[in-house]
Amino acid sequence: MIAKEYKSGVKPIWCPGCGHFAVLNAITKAFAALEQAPENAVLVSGIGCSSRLPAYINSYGFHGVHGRALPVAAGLKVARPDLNVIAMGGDGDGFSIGGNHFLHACRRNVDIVYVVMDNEVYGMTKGQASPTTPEHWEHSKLTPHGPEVRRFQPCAIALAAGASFIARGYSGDPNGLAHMLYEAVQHPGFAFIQVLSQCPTFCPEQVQWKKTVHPEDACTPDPVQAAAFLHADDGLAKGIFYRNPRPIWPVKHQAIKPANLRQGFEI
Amino acid sequence: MNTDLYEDVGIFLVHSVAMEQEAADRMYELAETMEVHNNRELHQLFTALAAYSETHAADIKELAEREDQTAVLPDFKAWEYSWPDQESPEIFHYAHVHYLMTAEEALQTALDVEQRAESFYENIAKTTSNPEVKQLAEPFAKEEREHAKAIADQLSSLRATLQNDSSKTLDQTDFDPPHMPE
Repeated sequence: MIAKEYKSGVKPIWCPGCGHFAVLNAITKAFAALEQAPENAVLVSGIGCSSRLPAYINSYGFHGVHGRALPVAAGLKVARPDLNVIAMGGDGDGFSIGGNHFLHACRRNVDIVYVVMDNEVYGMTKGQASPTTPEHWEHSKLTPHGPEVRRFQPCAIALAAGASFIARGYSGDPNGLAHMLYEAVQHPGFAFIQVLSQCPTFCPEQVQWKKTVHPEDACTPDPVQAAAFLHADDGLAKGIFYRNPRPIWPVKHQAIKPANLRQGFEI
Repeated sequence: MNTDLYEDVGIFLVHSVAMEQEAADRMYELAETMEVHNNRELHQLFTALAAYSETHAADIKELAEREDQTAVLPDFKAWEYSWPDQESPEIFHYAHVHYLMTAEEALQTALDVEQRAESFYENIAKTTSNPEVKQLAEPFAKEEREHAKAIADQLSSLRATLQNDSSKTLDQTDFDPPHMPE
């Protein structure tokens, strides 16, 4: 299948210029390169603009509960390890409402990919500050002096929590992002990709990312080196920062089969 | 950039097809978005621009087959192409698009995109040591130049209309501005 055949035909309702279009295209390009059978892929999302994405891909999808994409995705992968499971959502969904799930998904290292389309704002509810909003972003009347709170550091926190693949992509580089996804899908374990995905409606200043996002060849299997890099990071570096496969969960002797699950629910 | 792009006919042609096809796909995507957002003028404009790129892609594919009917163009993954920037030169970058975009802005960006494509082919024609690649790149550059001229004419005509008839100027009042409900 070629990339555009992985599109479902449902027309996205994202704003013109939204970075999420690039993520959609990157997923289709990665799937084409992986020769992914649509029936063996599942996209699981939470709530928000970006969480609409599963509807636009020709595969199975689950548009779920706010902040709960990761538990659904992990449960699915544990029950059906043969499927390629990709969880996704936005920065509010993933780092605020679903923040706790994010930490424990990194820690458990279930073999799934998690893509967070980070536009640093709650777009669907019309532009409030999210966990990754810059401290002095003054465009929301709810936080007229900016959120005045230190920003959430997704990649550094993923590393501290135990993610075994950590990367940052950019919506202005869909081909580079497709490559990252291609690598992430093949990584055994929890692969986290933060995507700087511009919101031209609520954060038009993000068009500057085209000039300020810079590639970094910093990939290392050493968590100490990765931590040093991520703590000095300006948040605009793109690339794979950390890759170090470790045992995935559930370990083999705990492998759960659907029949065993049913048995567990018998009264 | 991979220098094979300048020397190998197959690699040059596969880049040319991808460049036109990606340009067409992006334009169709933008056209669809504008349709969803009820901007009929830009829907029609992007559809027309997409159709042009798609025709050009088909012409290059046909040319490649005519050149050597046994030739199989190399199959590249999306990130294996060698572009001067992050995306192909003829792509309409998302950073230039927004929900209040006007036809004038769209045409100006389309013009910039065509000029980038022209420079891309010109640069290859000047740099290559392979006469076959040069022979292909020169008419491709000419074709991009012609398309850029057609867009520039369209843009001038639109600007003249807007200057002479203020009723044709798009009312840019945003009746549903961002951040409103707070």
